[in-house]
Amino acid sequence: MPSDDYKQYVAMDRLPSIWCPGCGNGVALKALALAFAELEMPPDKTLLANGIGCSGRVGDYVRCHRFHGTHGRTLAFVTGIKLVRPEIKAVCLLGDGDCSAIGMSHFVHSARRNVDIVTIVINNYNYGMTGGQFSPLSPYNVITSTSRSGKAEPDIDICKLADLAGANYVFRTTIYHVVEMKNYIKEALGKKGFSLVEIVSPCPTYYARYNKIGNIIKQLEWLKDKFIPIEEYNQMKDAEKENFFWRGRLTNRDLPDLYQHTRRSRG
Amino acid sequence: MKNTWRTILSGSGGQGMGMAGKILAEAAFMQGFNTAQSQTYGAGARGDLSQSGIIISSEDILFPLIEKPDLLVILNNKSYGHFAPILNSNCNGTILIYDQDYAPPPKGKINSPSFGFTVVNKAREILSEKAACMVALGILTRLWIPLDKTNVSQAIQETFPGKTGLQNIKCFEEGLKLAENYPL
Amino acid sequence: MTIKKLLTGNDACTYAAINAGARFFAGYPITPATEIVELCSELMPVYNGNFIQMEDEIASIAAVIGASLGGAKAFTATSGPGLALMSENIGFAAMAEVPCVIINVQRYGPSTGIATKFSQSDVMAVRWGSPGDHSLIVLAPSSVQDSYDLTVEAFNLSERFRTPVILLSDAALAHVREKVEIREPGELNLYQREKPSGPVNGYLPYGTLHNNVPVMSNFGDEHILRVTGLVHQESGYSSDNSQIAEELVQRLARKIDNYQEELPAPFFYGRQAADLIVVSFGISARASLEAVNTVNSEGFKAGMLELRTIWPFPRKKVKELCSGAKKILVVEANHGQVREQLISCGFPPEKLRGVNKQNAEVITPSEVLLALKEENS
Ligand SMILES: Cc1ncc(C[n+]2csc(CCOP(=O)(O)OP(=O)(O)O)c2C)c(N)n1
Ligand code: SF4
Repeated sequence: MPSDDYKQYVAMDRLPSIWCPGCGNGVALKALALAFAELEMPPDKTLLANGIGCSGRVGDYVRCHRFHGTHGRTLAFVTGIKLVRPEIKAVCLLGDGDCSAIGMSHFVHSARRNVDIVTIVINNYNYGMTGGQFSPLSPYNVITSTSRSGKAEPDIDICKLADLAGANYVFRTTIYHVVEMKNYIKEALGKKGFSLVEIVSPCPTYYARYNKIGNIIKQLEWLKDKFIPIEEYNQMKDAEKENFFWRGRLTNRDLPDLYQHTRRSRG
Repeated sequence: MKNTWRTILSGSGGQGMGMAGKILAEAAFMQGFNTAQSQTYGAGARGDLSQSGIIISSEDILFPLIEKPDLLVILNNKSYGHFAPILNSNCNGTILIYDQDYAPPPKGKINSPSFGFTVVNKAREILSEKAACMVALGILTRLWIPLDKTNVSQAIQETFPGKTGLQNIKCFEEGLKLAENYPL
Repeated sequence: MTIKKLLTGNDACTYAAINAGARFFAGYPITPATEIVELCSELMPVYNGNFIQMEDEIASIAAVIGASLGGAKAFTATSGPGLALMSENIGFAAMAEVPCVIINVQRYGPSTGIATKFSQSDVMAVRWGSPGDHSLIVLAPSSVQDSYDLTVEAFNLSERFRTPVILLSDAALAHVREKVEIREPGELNLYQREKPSGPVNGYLPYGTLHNNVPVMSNFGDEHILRVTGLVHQESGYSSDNSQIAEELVQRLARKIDNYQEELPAPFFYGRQAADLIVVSFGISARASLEAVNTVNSEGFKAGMLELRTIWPFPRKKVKELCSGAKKILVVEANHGQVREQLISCGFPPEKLRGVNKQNAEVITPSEVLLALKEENS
């Protein structure tokens, strides 16, 4: 039973939130606040930066420093913040569209530079805020408001991308796996350099409805059944893999981060 | 009394136009003159038409770029096309200084008083074509621009440290010599 | 100490920024602003500051805004194509009230245009590149010395007003080398950002206003900061309340427009109560001044107004100084972007003559001279 300590990080007076019933954003917010509380992170040395989108409103409900910039650019803003205030622990919480479409280049370059940021991507497989259009992360063939007969383009795995680009830490989980989510956000917060925690999350209003996944219980069951531990997934035959997604820790290393690089070049 | 000297150096990218302009401006600055220096920029400066303009004046310089030069140094043929309007007119007072081997003035088209020197070949003898403008600076300093040669030497030394500096100064001094013996 | 040096316009801007206290530069190379990027890469580490070359101009201005919110004086430098990419985030800085300086070295446009060549055609782009009603400050230097002085001023104004300030340089000024008196930090009046002093609990980032400008903390300070590009309350939390929106957007304009006497005033040269007045800015003002001096020595009654603050447009001063003129010549290397402002000041179009040039070359003294002589006859 978690203590109430997490509430000091949440602007309780601003609740209820703007999110639809069953939306995963609130669950992610709570997991993040719990992680903050368990690590006893000082609010004045903690920054939550958001993208633009439904998930971007998380910052409207926190009590630590909060930044909310322009669509897709959060990581670039926070790169500037981190270079001058390296002591701040920065979490960038982004939507899948924000991070992987308009913000893709900043995402790749932040991972490449290994900027000391924990990036949490709430992947609800669509653009919630603008009414459920597909994003680069929406799986192939799914129905969205701009792919009524199935998304024609392939998707991309941002976890693999972050790993390739040079991130120190990469983990994927889902909204169903609440404890895991909190624990691995905590682990990411303990790292230096670029971390990615991708959280696959339900959007009952658009994605789940268009794709007839059923009510929120069904959506959570879907997450529970479809996302299997990476070790198990890796054992599967290719044909079998097609019906599942992996979750778990893909990357964990300790390469020097941007700040260390810039100081070293200074000699 | 003349109190403003507007000079344009024109040649190709590898002849050190920008550097020479900067050196002339620095020397003028050391001597307490007001000065403004500009140069062609970008692809042109690397290619076959590169220019540097230097205004040296004992008065305030209002407009820092050169519309009409008092002294025009031309080190390649291509420059003539560019400056034709100035060189062809009768009444502009521009003096043309040209490389006699590589940039002889086109026949019958130049109305400006003109003076030819062995600039590029002299530089090649001592260092390389890159130092052509240093020779030109020597000629200008000796004959037209009221700069102290020690100031120019110092500006060269500050621009090219070490041995290259000394070789460039040598080119400059050869320029002074060429001018000294020139039948003006 | 004051040092005299020969510097290019771009170098002068860079040294001025450092001496004004800038310790963060993020940028992306673009002609004709590249030398600023290069020089910053050398100087920032020496001054214990940060240099970062970002993946594009959108990211560059974003990093600058981030650094500023962390408490650093921060700037970037670019030219037309990069300015266009920065627009959204410049609007963000205006909305969220983040001090930052953008040096825009104008080149020939639109689009990629001629990268190495000159123009003064970003007058409207710097003002209205970003959508939405907002005010910001744009200063235009006309010499290398001015590039130095106005860059220092740009940092002061951005901190004082908590707004983006754009320095409108150009490809000619950027590369001409002239004498500059470099006043070092001890000799400069530098404005330091006001910081909150009250209790930490209940601190409202947009709650305390001095001259309509909020007293804001920095990220990482004990007063918790909340920043968003959404319409926001005093707390910094977002709001879609129409009254809050109106009050915010009007204050953003008011905080600058009502304090214009603090911005660099235009210079007036030549004859008072002149019949002919030349209005110009940037390097075209230098050509104009030479022409005006020439005609005045021939007995004309001509005056010359050099705009130094372009935005907000100094309407009051321009009206005051030009209202007696029979004819006003507006000298600018564009299609007439400043001339439009004079029309909106109420000067009848037939009283205004544009001396314009759009061939990527600078306007010369003899061209202005010709126009003046035509008007006098
Ligand atoms: C430059 C720009 N383009 C488009 C938009 C409109 N817009 C707002 S949110 C959004 C998509 C958000 O999707 P996602 O990042 O997946 O977040 P979600 O809403 O699903 O949490 C878009 C396209 C914008 N705000 N700015
Ligand atoms: S639209 Fe989707 S993502 Fe947005 S609040 Fe509703 S459920 Fe959440």
